[in-house]
Amino acid sequence: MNDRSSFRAMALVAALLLPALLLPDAGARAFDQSKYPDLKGQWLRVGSPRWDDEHAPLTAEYQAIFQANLKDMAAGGQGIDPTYTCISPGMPRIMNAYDPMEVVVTPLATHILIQHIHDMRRIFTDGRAFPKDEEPTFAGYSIGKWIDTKGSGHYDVLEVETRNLKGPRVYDASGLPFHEDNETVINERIYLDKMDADLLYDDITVMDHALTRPFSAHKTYARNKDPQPVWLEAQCADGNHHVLIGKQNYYVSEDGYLMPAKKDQAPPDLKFFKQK
Amino acid sequence: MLYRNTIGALSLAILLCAPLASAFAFDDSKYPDFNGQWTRPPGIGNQFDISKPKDRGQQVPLTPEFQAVFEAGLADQAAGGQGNDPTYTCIPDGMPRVMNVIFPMEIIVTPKTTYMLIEYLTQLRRIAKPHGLENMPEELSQPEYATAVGLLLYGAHTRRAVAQRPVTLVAKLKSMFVGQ
Repeated sequence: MNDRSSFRAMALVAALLLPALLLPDAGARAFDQSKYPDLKGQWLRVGSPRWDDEHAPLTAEYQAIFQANLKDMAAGGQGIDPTYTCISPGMPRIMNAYDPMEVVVTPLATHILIQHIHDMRRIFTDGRAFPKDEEPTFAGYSIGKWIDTKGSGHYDVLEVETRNLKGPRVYDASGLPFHEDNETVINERIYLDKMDADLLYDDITVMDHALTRPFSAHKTYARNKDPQPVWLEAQCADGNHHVLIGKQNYYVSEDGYLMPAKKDQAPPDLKFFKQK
Repeated sequence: MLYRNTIGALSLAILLCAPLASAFAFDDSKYPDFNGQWTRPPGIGNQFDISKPKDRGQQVPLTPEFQAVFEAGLADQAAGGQGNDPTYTCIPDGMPRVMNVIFPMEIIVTPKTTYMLIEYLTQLRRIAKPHGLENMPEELSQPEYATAVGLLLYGAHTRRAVAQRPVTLVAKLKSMFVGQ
């Protein structure tokens, strides 16, 4: 009798669950988010969007380039920071997160969406190798691997390597330079704080031929508590008054006149315009 | 004893099926497979209506005023200018021009938001699912109803705000002058 009741109960449960059990395809495609850290929401930079410029281990050649850049900036120029023309800051400067950031985890890639000029990173986590003939980009080509450091069955660290970068790029608004060969390699470890899941870290290490040894930074981001945060558009080109003509930067006034950016700066060559 | 066996059997059955619970965290099999890189098919231009030629061939039902604006823009372009097209300054082309997909597009479907990542000027669209619905048919929680639901919720919120305004005679008179 007891066995019969148990058998009936098992049969009932099996019958109720049969549709789900008969859908192996559905289960196979389902994305088990519970295995990944919850990175949803809007992340805001904590602290300055700078690297430790004073202690960057630059080679003597690139230290001289950096100093000349600082001198130009002091005179009103843009130095070697190219972003006033609204090109992407590129990696690793993207992770300075000038504007809010979103991290979208999917089975094959983790997407880092930065609101600042809509910089987007695809970190491929599908096990692929670096391509041999891909066109270089400012964000570079990123390959990542989710790691379960505690053996708990849940991933807690995303390790990333980025190569195939395009220039010009600098680390931050100081104009701290990368080598012009653009053979930079960037390693990252992205993870949540162990005690506070609303804090996200990115440990970044840069290998570059302008450096005498690897150069690292520890970036921190805080999760916006608003479950439906506002994503303001941050478009550099919309109302940008800086222009690059030849190798000189100039300024366009509010009423549309070309102005010098530096004291005693010569105007651009107007040889292709009819002279009055 | 009988019930204990039955409860035990049910527990065992549920336990055996437990792994399924986590698998249903996000059942993407319920959504179309949009994975991959999307491009315009060969031979398709990047005009708004791909079934018609570009420029005047689009036969857009513009008002006379804006037809004149459009014609002046085309004349300027013919003279070497940029006409009315502002994107030469590298500002985003915006919606709906984004969906002309000048360069490739990727679509990422997640439970609450569908993302469209447009390679051209790295433009990003977030299409959110309606939020704040309870006890409504499942269909209403789909993105195609997001605007309608959002307007309804906005209307309900505004109505509550209006209802909370002061109703004294002095407050009413004051509101007439300050345009509340």
